[in-house]
Amino acid sequence: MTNTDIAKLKPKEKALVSQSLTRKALLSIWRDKLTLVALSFILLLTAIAVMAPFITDVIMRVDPNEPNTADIFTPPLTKGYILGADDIGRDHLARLLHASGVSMGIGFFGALFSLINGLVLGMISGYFGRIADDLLNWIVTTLVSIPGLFLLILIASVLSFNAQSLIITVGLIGWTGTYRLIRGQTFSIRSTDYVLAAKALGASPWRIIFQHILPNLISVTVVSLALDIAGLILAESALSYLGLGVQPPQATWGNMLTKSFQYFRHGPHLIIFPILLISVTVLCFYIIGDGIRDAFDPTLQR
Amino acid sequence: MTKYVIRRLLQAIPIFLCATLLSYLLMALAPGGPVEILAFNNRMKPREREELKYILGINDPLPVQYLRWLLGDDWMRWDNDGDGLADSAVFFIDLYAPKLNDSGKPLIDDSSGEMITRSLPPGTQRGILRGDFGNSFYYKRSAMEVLVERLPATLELGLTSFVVGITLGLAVGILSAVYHGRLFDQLSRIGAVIVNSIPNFGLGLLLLLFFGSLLKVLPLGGRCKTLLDPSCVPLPERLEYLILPTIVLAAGAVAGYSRFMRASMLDVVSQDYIRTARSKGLQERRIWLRHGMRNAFIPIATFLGPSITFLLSGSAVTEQVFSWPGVGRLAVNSVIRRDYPVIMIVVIYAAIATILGYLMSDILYGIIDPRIRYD
Repeated sequence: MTNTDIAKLKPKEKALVSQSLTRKALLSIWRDKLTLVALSFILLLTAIAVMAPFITDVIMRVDPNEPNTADIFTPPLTKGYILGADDIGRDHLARLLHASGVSMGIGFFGALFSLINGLVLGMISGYFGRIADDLLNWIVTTLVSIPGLFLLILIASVLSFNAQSLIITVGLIGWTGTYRLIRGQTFSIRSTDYVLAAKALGASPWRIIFQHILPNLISVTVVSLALDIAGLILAESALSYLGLGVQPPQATWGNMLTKSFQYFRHGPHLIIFPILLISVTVLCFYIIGDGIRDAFDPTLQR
Repeated sequence: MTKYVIRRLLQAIPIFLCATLLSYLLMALAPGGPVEILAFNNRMKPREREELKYILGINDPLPVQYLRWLLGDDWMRWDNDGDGLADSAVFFIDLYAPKLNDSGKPLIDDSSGEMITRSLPPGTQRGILRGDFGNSFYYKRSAMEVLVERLPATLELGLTSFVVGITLGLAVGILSAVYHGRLFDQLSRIGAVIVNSIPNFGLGLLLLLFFGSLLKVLPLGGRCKTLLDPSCVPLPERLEYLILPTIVLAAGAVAGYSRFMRASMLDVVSQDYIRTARSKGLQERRIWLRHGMRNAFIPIATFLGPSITFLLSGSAVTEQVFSWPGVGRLAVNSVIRRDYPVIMIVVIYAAIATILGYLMSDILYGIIDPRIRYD
């Protein structure tokens, strides 16, 4: 039965057609309006962030790092500043747009990098066990024995972060959570009957990993990616607050928000927009994560 | 249980050593290296600087340097006859160093072409395992002393926010499970997600602006009135300083615990023995409290490990926001000042706190759930 055939069926008959878990999950996300709204917000924001240089250069014709002493603390919607100007007269909207790219970029690529590390190492550890498992567990126990922020602080004392080095650092130290999750899942999938059957048919370990184990890990992986991005966006802002994050003049949501609190009397608008952007973005990632988890949870199928 | 605790403590030793190795390697990567920074002083002549390098053993291989940092060097090179110069040393340590000229280059004997050597003073470091982290570059006294001074403040804030957070969090979680799907449940769930989405320091600074700067009802940070005097008046007389940081730290804990407790409680009440209790005609209240709650507490124990770590090591961000003189703030300020001995002691302390946190959470697990037997 093709997809168009299914679409033609009446609702009651539709329920009788057996569907794959992924299809069911996608359908349930489609019905979950909250997750859809969050997803659209993130996609829109990502598109804007990617096009930020184009928007500021061509459409708005402003330089986000160009100070203009005459316009210090201009409130929003005056003198052609849509979101006002900051403490040295830079366009707030232009800076926010550029900062979105950096903050979301750190969140996304940092989470992706640590996710890939966690996924690959977790599958190796869970599938092959023995020495690989012992060695990786030993590394993880060591990494986890120093709290994440303290480890970041220690690394910040050795090198000062920019966007790239921050992404690499969180990628190298932030994979332990995903690793444990994936390792446990791989471990349980490895002992299922269909993996045994595949082994009996003579499938190579790589075939088993890519054909039978990886597809079953997709939902866990996507959920953990969404939550990791949220966590990293918050971590970037916290590091910036401590003065150990990405350094100005490069704008990030974190260092814009941090600086804005020094001028709360002159420019309250400088606080409101960054804190809203951070909170709403993080909230959306939480909602997406929860939505995907529910969608793939077979016990919650309607 | 005692056997289990001892075994866990023994297992923690290699993990602890790995953590020290990791942090030492990171510090060794720092520009100039750990000992180069120790010898940094503008008024120092080139010859003195080079001489100090030999005394401190900068030219030794990295494993020897790590060993020296870990266990000290007073046993590596020592003085038997009391003339202030070492006369015995273990095999991998130099007993003599070349004599240097004023520009720091070794002096060569013209006739034989060999370097002229001199005796080195005995080792004085006792190593971190014996509590010797060296002197803080900034405070000019023992790094251990600096850390110990900061502990009461961190424990005070950590304990308060832990108690407030866990009590409120569990209460909210139980109530949302009891009123499952009703308004209270919805509001508490939305509230929890929103609290988790706001950057911690943003929330803290907004509270400071509102209550401290606008309404002027609460102090603008700090732990007590006089900052010059390190000893504060007893806690009950300065509770107003504790309110805002506790709110910020507890908010996150309430959000986490309430969601977890709700899920755990809903999981428990769907089980058979709850149905049995209902069919016996027990009161709803008794079912929720006696049968539901007590069992729903068990998974919460997994949450305790990170919480205990957090309680002990402090929150760098919140302490910074409220100028709270605790360990977390010390860590951040030491990084900014490049005060390596203090950074190292704080990181090692945080590692101990983590290991203890997980150990205590596992022990509590065994106490709360009688089905778990460790022996």
